[in-house]
Amino acid sequence: MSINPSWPRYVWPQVALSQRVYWQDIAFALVGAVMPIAMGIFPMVQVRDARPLPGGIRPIDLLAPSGLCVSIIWIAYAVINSAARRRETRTYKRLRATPIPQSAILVGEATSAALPALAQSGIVLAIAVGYFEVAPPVHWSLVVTGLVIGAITMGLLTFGVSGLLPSSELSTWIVTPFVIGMWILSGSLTVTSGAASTIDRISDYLPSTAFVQIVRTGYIGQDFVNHDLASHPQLSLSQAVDAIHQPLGVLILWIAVGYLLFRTFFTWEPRSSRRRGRVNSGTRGKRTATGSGE
Amino acid sequence: MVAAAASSYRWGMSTDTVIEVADLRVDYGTTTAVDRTSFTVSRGEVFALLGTNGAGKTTTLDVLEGYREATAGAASVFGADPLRYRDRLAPRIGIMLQDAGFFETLTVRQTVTAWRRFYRDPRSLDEAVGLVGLSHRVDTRVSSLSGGERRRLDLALALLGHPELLFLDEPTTGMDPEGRHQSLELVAGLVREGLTVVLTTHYLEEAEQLADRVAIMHRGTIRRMGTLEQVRAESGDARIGFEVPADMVTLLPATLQASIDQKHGNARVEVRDADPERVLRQLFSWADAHDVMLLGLEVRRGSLEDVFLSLPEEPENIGRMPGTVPPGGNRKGGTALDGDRGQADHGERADRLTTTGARS
Repeated sequence: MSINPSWPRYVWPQVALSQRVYWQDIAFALVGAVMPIAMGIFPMVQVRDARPLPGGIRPIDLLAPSGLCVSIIWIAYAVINSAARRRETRTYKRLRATPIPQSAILVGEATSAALPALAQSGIVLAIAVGYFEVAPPVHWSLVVTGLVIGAITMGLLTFGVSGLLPSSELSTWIVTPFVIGMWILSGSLTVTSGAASTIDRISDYLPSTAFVQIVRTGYIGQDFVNHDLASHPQLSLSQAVDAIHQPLGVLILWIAVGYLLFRTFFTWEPRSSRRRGRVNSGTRGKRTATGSGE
Repeated sequence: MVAAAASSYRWGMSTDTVIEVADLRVDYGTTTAVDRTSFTVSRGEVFALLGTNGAGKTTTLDVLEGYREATAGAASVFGADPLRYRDRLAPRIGIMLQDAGFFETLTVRQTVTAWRRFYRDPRSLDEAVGLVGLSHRVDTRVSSLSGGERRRLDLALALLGHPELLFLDEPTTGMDPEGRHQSLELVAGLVREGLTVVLTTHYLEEAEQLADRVAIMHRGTIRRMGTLEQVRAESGDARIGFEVPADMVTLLPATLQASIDQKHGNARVEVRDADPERVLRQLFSWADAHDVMLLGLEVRRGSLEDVFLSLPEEPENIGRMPGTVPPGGNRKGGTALDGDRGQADHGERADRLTTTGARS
């Protein structure tokens, strides 16, 4: 695929189209709009009157930053639904019959999923600060960075995984346990003791945990990556950036995995014709520029 | 030449050749869908690919539209590799797909409006829907459109960007006769303005109405190609048909190569001959001599249908375009893509090819 100099102009039309289609299915859209906010706020409600932890920080101060991240985890739902459904109905094929570059279709779809998620994060933040009286973020840039990198990771991973899933209806059910699992293990639901269990150690390598750690460190301005909840030194921005190198590395790794999955498994065509395309690509030993393998 | 052309994109190429396909082969795993297919399409030309389902038409189009990579051979569109330079070629191309979906919840207006944003200088909404006769359905959801209306919308989207080259994949499937007529008239009008069209169809009258040249594909290879007259001529003979009383059949001139079907005391006689005038003179003389009426006399030249139906009678290596080989060659698994394609027999073709109005 050649580089199209007018590539950016195609992304927003795709975002607008994806958004219009998304909101036409109002029931699904409302669930997608309300659930991440509810899931972000619910843990704060649970601990709003809880006593401070041994280190002096209130549980609600810990759960507010992670509440911002729930909508990022939910990007998986929006992407998996659009990718699987558009492929199944061959709408992707119709889109590809227009001048819009293939990469712009995907970026537009991902952006369409990410923008509402970021807006939802904003709403959760506003509620946390305005209603639960949580202090605003200390390092805004780090919070935004964590959310954006998290969104990119989730989008790419989900596009990659979508190629492995059988149908749009089944995809939702298959993805749900993973989304719930990532939500729980990310530390967005409860405040754990700080004593690292085996599960905690494993969860450190999940993408959701990684961007929660980045957002939490940036939001509170304290090191929650390398220190447990009882001991969390204050950090300047540069110190905070230095502190998040591990979760940042984890996210970069997951982005690489997502890209690999995408290149290997993502196809534009439905399952029935995908095998043919993949086999064909395999025969040639090379793929299309988008990795569709057709 | 094609390979060289495909290696770099030549903007504003002056050549009149819009499409070049050379020894194209497309494999699906061990199955060969298109094999050593070669043709060119010139600017302003309507080129029709005919064939049964699974003949390789859509796969050929997929390569030209930049959807699919060729396994071997080369294809170029406006002098460029359509897969590699798809993004740059796309604004010059309109594609009417056979099997792509719409966003069902959008209205016609919303769909066209969304699609217009993908083009630099698109037709207006009113013009686009007016062209295809959908103005009265502009606020109807796509999910509520009939099959024919969906095809019209498909055509409207394909024409949105004022394409120089239009791919039509079974364009009128599902349309009622009026819709089909209007759509073909629309395309014919655009062709008069210089549009180049590649058409796949199994409605032979579409090809006869629109196409300057046709190629008949069967089992992945082009078996006949040329102008309509050239291809018809390859079917050979004109058909002269009539009915006479059954007891007169034995008295027919022995020189006639006639096939006879007897029913209810009459015999339907069909004579195939390259010189129908000579046969008619002979028949009229014979009828005068025996005081017999030639009931239901009709004379028709060879049609595309005749050409098509004649294909299965040929051995695999006869009637194929130069440079082509049996589909799948000698490779293992050179069987039908969709399971039954390779088994397509004469009767199946007759079923799948619609010939209303094809005869002249």
